[in-house]
Amino acid sequence: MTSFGEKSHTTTAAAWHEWKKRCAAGLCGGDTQRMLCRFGEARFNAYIRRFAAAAGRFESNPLVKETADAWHLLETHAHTGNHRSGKRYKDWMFDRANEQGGDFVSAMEAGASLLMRDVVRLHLRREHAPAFMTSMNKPVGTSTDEESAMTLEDLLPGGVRIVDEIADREWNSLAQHHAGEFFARLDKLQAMTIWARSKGISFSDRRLLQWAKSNDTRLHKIYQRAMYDLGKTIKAMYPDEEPAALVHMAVLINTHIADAFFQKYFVQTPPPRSFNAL
Amino acid sequence: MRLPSHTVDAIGQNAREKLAAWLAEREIDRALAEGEVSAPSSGLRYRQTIKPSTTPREGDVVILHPDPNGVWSPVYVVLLEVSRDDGCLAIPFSRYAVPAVPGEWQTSFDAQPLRVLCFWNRREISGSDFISEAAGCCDPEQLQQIRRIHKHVFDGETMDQSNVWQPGPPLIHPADPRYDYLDEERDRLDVHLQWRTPAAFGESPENIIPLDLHQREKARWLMAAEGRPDYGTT
Repeated sequence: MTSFGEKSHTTTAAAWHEWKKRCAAGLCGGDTQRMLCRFGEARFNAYIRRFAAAAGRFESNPLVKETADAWHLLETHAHTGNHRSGKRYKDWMFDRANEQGGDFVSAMEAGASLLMRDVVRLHLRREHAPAFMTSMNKPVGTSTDEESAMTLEDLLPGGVRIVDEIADREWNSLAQHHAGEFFARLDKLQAMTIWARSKGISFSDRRLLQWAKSNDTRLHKIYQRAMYDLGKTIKAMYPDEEPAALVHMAVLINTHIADAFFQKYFVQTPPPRSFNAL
Repeated sequence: MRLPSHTVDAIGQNAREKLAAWLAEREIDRALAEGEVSAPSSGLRYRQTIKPSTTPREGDVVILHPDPNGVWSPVYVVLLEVSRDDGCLAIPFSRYAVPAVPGEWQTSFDAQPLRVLCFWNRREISGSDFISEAAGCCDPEQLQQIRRIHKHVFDGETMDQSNVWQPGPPLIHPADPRYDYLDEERDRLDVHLQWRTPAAFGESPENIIPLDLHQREKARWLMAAEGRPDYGTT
């Protein structure tokens, strides 16, 4: 749930019900208007501060100056059409509050906060483009971890086109050979993450977590580390090749590693019961 | 050592710009969501099955019933097919303004929540899964466009290159952060639909996007994402 450390509500149940009935804050009575606008401003600015703290991207906070703007932005952003159906998000808010049980106003404010988060994301996206948006060679994201530091050029190096069937067989034969060497160096968890990724199994899949006796964050890190090592190995073997070709080889090697994992842990030994269907 | 013979197709600047825009929004989203966690649930939720008050129609845009303890804003879906037994084929809309992968397409809808459709994450749902009153609807041309793209993504039918609706950039690198996003999006839909199939949750094949590359039909969206030559240019 969103949490902004407030000790008491800034809105009331009556205000929410009036807002739902009147369609927009601007059509509500003065008290309701003020409550919603103040709430909107506070949430908007809280999200901006959260972003600034997390991303360290700018020194001055681009706070919304007009208190009425933030709530109006939410109403504009969330609507899906000019008719009453376009405000169906209000039904969603009330539905959510009623299903949650507990304090109705807290639940409504939480639902509104989730909508406001979308508004702030849109605002930041328009107003603050990060450096990698203008350079192919700057690392994407804010991670300083070398293993995560990829550029746009790394992520989209180009598409490899294999010229004929003979070349296709050569690629796969080479990939299978390298996969054998690499698989021998991987521990079970590393190979498991490569297998899972190749099968489209989420790292938060319960069956996988149970089998791995781990959590999704750790599996993600293990996978990233394995890909980093694989990338370095391939680059060392083929220093003169283009990035697109190196990535293509990595993809093929992963496919063969996944096959080797399947052979070892599903065919040669009994698989975990939860994965029997595979 | 040299790799076997091959050619390299350059990636268009447009694809990199789209990816840059998506990554930027992703980074913002993750920063804004930092520290937010779903409240612990008592287990799988059960909802009384209530007959919808209105009959859904193909082309309706509806909102899934909320996850009351979760951290997700409304999940919008378009109903591509509606059958007599209350079953619907639904395509969810993305949270983001730009499509992430070739299985996601930029739409022509004006509304912010309806900018991108995630065809790859289509689901079979029932009338009890969503707020019965629609949040909007497609006009005939938009619905026809959605059907065409659906056939293109899943059946490989060719599409007009000059299409206004555009797909996301290829997914090539095995460590691309978009894989985590795809997992997250799948989980987002799962958690909104989990009340319906409590016994099967966690074991449902919906947890898996079939990626067996020997079954090319099922993996076609990913092959397209990887820019395989036989998919065609987009």
